[in-house]
Amino acid sequence: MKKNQVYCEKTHRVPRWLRSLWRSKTGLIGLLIVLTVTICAVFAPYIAPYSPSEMHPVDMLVPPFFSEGGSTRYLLGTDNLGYDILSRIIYGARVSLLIGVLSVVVAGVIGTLLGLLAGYYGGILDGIIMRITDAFHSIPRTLLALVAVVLMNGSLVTIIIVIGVTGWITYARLIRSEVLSLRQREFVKAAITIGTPDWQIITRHILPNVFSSFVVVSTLAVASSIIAETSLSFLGLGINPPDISWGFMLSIGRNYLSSHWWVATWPGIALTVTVLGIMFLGNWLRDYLDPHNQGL
Amino acid sequence: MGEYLLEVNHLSKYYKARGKGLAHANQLLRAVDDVSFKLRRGEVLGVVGESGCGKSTMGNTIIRLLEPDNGEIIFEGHDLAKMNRHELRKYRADIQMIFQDPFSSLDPRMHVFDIIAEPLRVHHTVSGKELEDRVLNLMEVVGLDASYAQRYPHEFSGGQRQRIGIARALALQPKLVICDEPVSALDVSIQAQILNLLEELKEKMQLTYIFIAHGLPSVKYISDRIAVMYLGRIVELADTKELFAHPLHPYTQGLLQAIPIPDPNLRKSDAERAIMGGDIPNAMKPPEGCYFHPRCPYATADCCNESVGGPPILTEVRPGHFVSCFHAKEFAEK
Amino acid sequence: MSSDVLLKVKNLNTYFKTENGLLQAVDQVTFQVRKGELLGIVGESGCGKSITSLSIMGLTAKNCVVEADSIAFENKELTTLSDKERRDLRGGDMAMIFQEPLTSLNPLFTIGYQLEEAIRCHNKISRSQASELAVAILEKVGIARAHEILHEYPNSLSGGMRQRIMIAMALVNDPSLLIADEPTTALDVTIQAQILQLIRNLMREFGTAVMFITHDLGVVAEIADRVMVMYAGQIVEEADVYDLFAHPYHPYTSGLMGSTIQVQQEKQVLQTIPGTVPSLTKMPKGCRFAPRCPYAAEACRVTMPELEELPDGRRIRCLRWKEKTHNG
Repeated sequence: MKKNQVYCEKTHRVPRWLRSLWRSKTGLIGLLIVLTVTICAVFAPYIAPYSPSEMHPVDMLVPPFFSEGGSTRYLLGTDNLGYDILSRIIYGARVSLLIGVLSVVVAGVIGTLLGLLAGYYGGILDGIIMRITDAFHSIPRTLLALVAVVLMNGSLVTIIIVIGVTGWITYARLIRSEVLSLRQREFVKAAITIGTPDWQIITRHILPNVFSSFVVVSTLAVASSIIAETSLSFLGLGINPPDISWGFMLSIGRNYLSSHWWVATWPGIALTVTVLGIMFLGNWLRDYLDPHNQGL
Repeated sequence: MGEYLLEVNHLSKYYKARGKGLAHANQLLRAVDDVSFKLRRGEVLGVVGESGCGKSTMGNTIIRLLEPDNGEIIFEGHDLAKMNRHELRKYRADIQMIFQDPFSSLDPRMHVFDIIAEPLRVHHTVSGKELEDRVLNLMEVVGLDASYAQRYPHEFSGGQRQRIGIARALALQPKLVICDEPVSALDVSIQAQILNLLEELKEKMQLTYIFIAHGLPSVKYISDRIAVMYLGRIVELADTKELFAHPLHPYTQGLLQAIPIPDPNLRKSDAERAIMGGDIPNAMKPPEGCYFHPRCPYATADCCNESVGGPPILTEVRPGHFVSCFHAKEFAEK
Repeated sequence: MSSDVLLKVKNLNTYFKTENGLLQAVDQVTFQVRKGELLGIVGESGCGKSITSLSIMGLTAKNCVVEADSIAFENKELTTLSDKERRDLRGGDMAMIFQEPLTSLNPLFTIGYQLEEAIRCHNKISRSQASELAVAILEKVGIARAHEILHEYPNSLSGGMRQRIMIAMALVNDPSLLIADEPTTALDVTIQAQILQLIRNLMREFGTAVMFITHDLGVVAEIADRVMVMYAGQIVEEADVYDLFAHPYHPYTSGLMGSTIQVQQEKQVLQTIPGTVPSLTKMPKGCRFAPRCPYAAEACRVTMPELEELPDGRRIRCLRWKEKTHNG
């Protein structure tokens, strides 16, 4: 055994999660991407070169700066109405992140509550809740969005509710199965024999132990919400101008794919990179929070 | 108040089988089948048996973690089996349980202090400084250093976690403690520590134990009386000394023969060793008549006759010695 | 190597790779197994007995580093073998059975398939011949309806049956050494008795040597010829089974025996060994058992005792064993 490999407990000044992140290259990349997108969303007015609603009728369909005919004034080019694509992508991050996060909150609250009840009490309650999840599972999101848009207007709130209400199923199923297995753990049985009332068992014992799964699912759910919003906006059922959405940008760019590739490509790349970044981060988070890795 | 702390009469717990077709429709898994015994204050009743014998299920049913299908659980004169959850709550403090698995019987996200304090908090027994004193005192009583109070379960060894579980069970000063295989998952030297601790606590806090285990040695060490279970039924019940000196039920004899003795000079040759053959039968389809007859070296036609109409009943054949066997009287006379 | 020594292990060291360096799990383990004998390796959790056997078989996980001066099996040096040569040895001349047969048997394949696979891995014979051999070995291990069992899946069988099948799979290629890692720990006591009897009979019939790992002193007393006691990754004592139980020299050995419930005795005061096994990250300097030892002196806490070999064949790792045995 080499001398320098002798076991030596080091006291680290760097916190554990940071060290773990450093070791996981994809996790690090994910975090950087998410940070970048968040900064874009929060500081959009300070970062974007132009306002997203600033039209430049003179410079319509200008290619990106590295292409022939492009200019450094519009780094990623402009679209058919002369909007600067880069600025719109930066502002679009706001919408994506906002909708992604808030719809997850809606879905999370509904799904966790129902999953908890189904898993803990079982029996008829479980049966009813599971049948409800099956019913919701079969509702096409697009159809619901269409109905919602007709009934209410296609505002931010509407989209959040639509995605949230169709997305709670994953939570419910996951939380339910975690609770089912936790229910069988001896420490829950011990709490029952002590005489702890049900609501205390749920809040004190069950919830903290499903927390890490909840966090991991939430991270990944944000990614899928963003994709959902993009699809809806692409179909015109989501965000409408003056709000900017990558999905909306995609729907415009669709008509120019063969002639002016950049109009659709940049929002597409922004979407892909964002979702990938969230996935990487979510995967790292799942491994980090895994009880086995913590010696639990 | 009667002389018995606990009286269990004809306790049964069944599980319904889910099978295909009419043939399986009424199949019942008799996890606990017509179990009766009486427990005196300060006594340790050992319950021993192999897998599928129902000992753990019986323990869980007595404490109402599982609902009994039949029978009475009379604790200090009150039938626990018939109470609803609200009435039961008053008795929760009197009957506590120590669990088998030191790794899953403690909430991994709670401090040791909170784990032991939970029973006291739930019943609003004490609070503030008094609570703190009680918890630290309990830790001391089970041999845990008070400085460990803010640690998490995963920082302790199996034996220490079991001590935490014991402290939690004793927090409400119960009268009856059901020990469900408390030492099975521990190393031998730690088993000895915990067994000695349990004995000491029994004297100090005037407890009564039901000690469930699948290994006879630990049951022998700590129990005053032993009940041997097979496929949901008690097949023999006697004082510890009596059981080892005169085991009457063939299953008990087989069990005793099978225990490996830690002394090579007492090795038996294969001829002397009467190793019990066969496997434990499927609990869903127990044999006709006496459940044990397919493996029994003394079985006769009477034992499995349909006319017998069910397994034998636990009867007293010697003073304080109960056996469930059709030939019990003959064995007792030998 | 003399002709009756089957396995000779010299200075085996196994380490775990962690983010803080290498943790030693097995420390300078040296021992032999002779032909036809049963060596019992006894110790509690964390003593390194399982890792030792896995290291010898070459089955350690990726985060383990195994180093040894020599591991010689039937005069073949195992440390220099290629992976393929190691595989040929496994299941052939050197076989292993584990504690939990359910995880050792593949639930998706029939017993017959798995047995035949084990046979044909090491013998170039046809499937029908392998099938016959399978039936024969199943009957040898006491399974009555061997022909029917060939078509069953592991999940539908009891623990005892599965362990018998594991033993059959291990013995079907007539190994000279069987390593059994706590094979009866998960079984009921009556089934354990059957399996122990089976192992004894098979040893007599096939002449197989067995390395039997367990934490149960009773089991060791029942079947072992020689016993090796391990503590915190080291061998602390080794002796003939009768000698060891009559006169345990090492305080840990006598402590273990004192903590074991002697069912045959009327009354017993159970002794305990205070404290717990040291964690791998915080090994004491000097003798590893000193913090828990009733005989520990200052020298014990400073110097690590060497494993001494005594004229009667016993080995003992203790600075004060002479005084201890004179004082009883």
